[in-house]
Amino acid sequence: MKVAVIDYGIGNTNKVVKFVSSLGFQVVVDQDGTALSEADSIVISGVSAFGSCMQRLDRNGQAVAIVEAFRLGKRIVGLCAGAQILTTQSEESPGVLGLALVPAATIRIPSEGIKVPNQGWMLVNPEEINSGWKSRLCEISGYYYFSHSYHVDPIVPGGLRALYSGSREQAVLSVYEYENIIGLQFHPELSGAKGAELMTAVLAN
Amino acid sequence: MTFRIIGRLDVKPPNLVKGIQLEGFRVAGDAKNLANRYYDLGIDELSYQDVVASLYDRSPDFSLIQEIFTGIYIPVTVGGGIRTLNDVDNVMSIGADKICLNSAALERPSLLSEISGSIGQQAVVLAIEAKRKNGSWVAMTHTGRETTEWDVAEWVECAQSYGVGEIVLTSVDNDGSQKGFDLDLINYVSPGCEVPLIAHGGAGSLQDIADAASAGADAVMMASVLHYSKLSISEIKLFLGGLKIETRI
Repeated sequence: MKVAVIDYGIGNTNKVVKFVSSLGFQVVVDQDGTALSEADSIVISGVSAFGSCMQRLDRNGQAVAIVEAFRLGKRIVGLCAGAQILTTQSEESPGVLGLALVPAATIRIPSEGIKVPNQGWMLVNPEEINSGWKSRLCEISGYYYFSHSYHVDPIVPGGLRALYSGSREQAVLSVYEYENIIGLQFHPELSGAKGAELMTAVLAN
Repeated sequence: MTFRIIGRLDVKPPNLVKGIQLEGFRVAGDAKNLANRYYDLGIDELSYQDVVASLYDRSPDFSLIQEIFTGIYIPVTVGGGIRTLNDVDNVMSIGADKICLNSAALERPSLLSEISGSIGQQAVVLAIEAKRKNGSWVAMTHTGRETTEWDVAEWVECAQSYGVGEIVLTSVDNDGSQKGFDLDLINYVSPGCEVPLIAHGGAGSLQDIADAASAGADAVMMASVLHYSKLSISEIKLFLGGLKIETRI
């Protein structure tokens, strides 16, 4: 089971690589798109500006390679900003086109009733998990670490599987699933044992 | 959002130390052992602070930081002696998830927006060392060695305009005392704080932590009370749970 971790010079790729390796997977680091063809799953992490992320992915040739990997049905896992760049666009970087593989956009978390950045541990609890979710996300229930100011917003309700966390008045999208893509808004690599358990389930599926 | 319990590791490389009112630092244990122990016992985050880097104009001890936090998969904040984007890059690449600034931010607040632009606002932690003065509190730098003219509430407002992810508010007066957080300080700063606020300095009892939450803190950062085993992480979370304050369990 080979996992490619996208390295595009943003965020803590080292930590994600160590994390995925610690779960027992064979990890290959991709810096130009060429390593994706040999991998079974692809992990895209990331921080900060949507625009900077996309600029680098385009320049490195990784954007087209990710799209190709999606078409080939490989499991693609986006973590935090990585989950956001798989969408069509983001309010964080107006005018920039994302990878546009999932039918959703990225918007700023409304700040009524919630402090932004949304920072800390939240319960992710899929009470209504059913067979509609293809992956083994039924193992997901637990506390995970969030650190973000934007979150994913489905373009069409029901266009992708979405899970929300937080209070009823102010929820953030914590997990989404679309075809062979899973987006995790939280950081499994910063969520202790639970994060490790979840990531293993997501990658091994 | 849950209430966070954050372990503070003050380090005078290579030793873990603890002071009182940010002075008289004494060796208080082994940093790596304590980091691992707190991680295993359910601490929500760890915060590493080099207490002499600013004072001696040194860089962070990169290899020590990397050694301490290898194999720890919760958020790690690193502070002390971070002055440039280069320092930030170096610290992030060896395992930090967030960086903490105090002295350098007060010297040049625009550094906050530069760093936010580089690593994301959520990864920028502003540390404020607050000391009582003339009925209010002023911001100190260099691990409480030097004072500024900044009233802490005004500094919070200014810093937020440049971009910070969260604020660690340290009571210099209560630090190491285990007599409780400076609740007046938290009450003073909290209303103007738009980002998560972490109370630090003075924790001694379970009730102290609940009081900090009531005063408006979103998290507490603790050192001596954990290092000297006065309170355990599980009893803290159990106690807060009893008060319907949600924590990560």
